[in-house]
Amino acid sequence: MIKLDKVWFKYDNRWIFKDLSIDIDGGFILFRGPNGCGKTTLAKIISGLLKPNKGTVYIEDVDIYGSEDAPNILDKVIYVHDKPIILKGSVRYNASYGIMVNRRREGDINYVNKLMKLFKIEALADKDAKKLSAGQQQIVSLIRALAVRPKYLILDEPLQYLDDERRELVIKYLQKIIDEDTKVIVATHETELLRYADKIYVFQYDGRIRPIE
Amino acid sequence: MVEFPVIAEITTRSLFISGTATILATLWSIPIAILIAIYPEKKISKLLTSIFNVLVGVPTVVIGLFIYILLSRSGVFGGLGLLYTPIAIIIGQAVLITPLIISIAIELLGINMRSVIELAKTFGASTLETIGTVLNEGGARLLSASILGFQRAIGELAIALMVGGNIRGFTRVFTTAIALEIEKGEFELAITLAIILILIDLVIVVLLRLAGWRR
Repeated sequence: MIKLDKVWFKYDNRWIFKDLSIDIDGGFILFRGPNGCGKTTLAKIISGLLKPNKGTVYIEDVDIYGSEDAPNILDKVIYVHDKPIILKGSVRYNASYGIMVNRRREGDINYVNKLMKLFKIEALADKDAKKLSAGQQQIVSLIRALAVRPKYLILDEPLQYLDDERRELVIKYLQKIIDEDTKVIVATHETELLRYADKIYVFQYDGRIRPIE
Repeated sequence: MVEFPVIAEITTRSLFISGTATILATLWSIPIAILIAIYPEKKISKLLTSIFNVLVGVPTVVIGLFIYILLSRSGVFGGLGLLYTPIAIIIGQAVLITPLIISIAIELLGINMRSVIELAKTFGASTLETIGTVLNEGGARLLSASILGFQRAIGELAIALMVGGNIRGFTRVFTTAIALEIEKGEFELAITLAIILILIDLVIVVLLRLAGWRR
C-alpha cells in the first residue's frame, strides 16, 4: 500500500499538490487526467525521485524520503519514463542495466534473455539501442524494468509508441505479473487500459485526486 | 622584429599552464557538479549552487589577491616557495575557473541528464555508478564546461601577473606578455600574440560545436 500524508509539492512557484492525503492501492492502478495536472509528478514522488516540499510518502509503512529502510523499499519500486531513456550501448546492455547496477539485487541475465524473446527483440540484442525505433526503445526500457522483478512498477504512458501486436503483448504480461502480486501503476491518457484497471485515480487541475473503483 | 622562438615559448607555456589548470579544475569540478545534480533537493546542493553562481562573477584580480596572500612569504603556504612560479598561476587559474565549470556543468546536467540520473536512481545505482552512467552518457557534453573554463583561464591577466610575476622565460604567458609589450610601445609582438590568442579562441569554438553545445 502506498500512502501520501499531507503532501505539498511545487514546480517553480506553482503548487501542484497542496495538502494531498491519499491511499493508493490495487493491482492495476491507473492515473488519469488532463496534461499538467500532476500524473507524472505523483508517479515520480511515489517512486522516490521527487521529494515533496512537505508531507510524508509511505510505501508499506516506510517513509521513503525519511526512513533508514527507504533504500530497501525503493529497490522494489521502478519508474519507467514516458519517453524511453536509452543509454549508449547494445540492447542487451540497456535491458540488463537494472540488474547490473544494484548490488542489493540479485541479477538474472536468463530472465532478461527470456523477456527479450517474449517481446520479440532478441534478434536485436547486440544492436546499438540508440538506433532502434521509438517503439523498440520503449520495449527495451520496459524489459529493463521488468528484469529486476519490481513489486511496484510505475509506468508513464507505456503504450504510446507501440504497435497493436506489442501493445497486446505488454498488456498480457502486465496482467501476468499483477496475478503474481506486482502492483502496476500506469499514468496514461490511453482509454484502452481502462477496462483492465482495478482502480482509477482521476487527477484534477486544482491538485485534487478522485479515486474511482 | 618578432622572434619566433619567443612566441613559441610563450604559446607553449600559456597552453601548458592553462591546460594543467583546466585539467585540475575539471577533476574536482565535474564530480561536484554531478553530485549536486544527483541530489538537487539537498540543502547543501542548493547552497553550493548559489555560492558557485556568485563566485563565477568574482573579478580575477580578487582571486589573484587571495592566492597572493596565501602564497606570499608570510602566508599560510608561504613556506612552499610557490609565488612567482608557473605552479602559482596554475593554482590561481584552477581556482578561478572552478565555479565556472561547476555552474555550466550543473546547467548542462539539468538540461540533458536529468532523465539519465532518474534512471540510475530508480534502479538503485550507487552514487559512483550514477556518476559513471552520467559520464558515459554525457561526458562529451560536460567537456564543454571544461573547454569554456580553459578559454577563461588562458585569457585572464590579473592572476598571471600578480602570482606569476611575468618573469621572462619562466612565468610569462600570453596576457602578461601582451600587456608588457604594449607598455613598452612594441606592438608587433603584442599583436602577434593577440592573433594567436584569438586563433585559440576559434579552435575552442570549434571544439564546443564538436562537443555538441554552444554557449
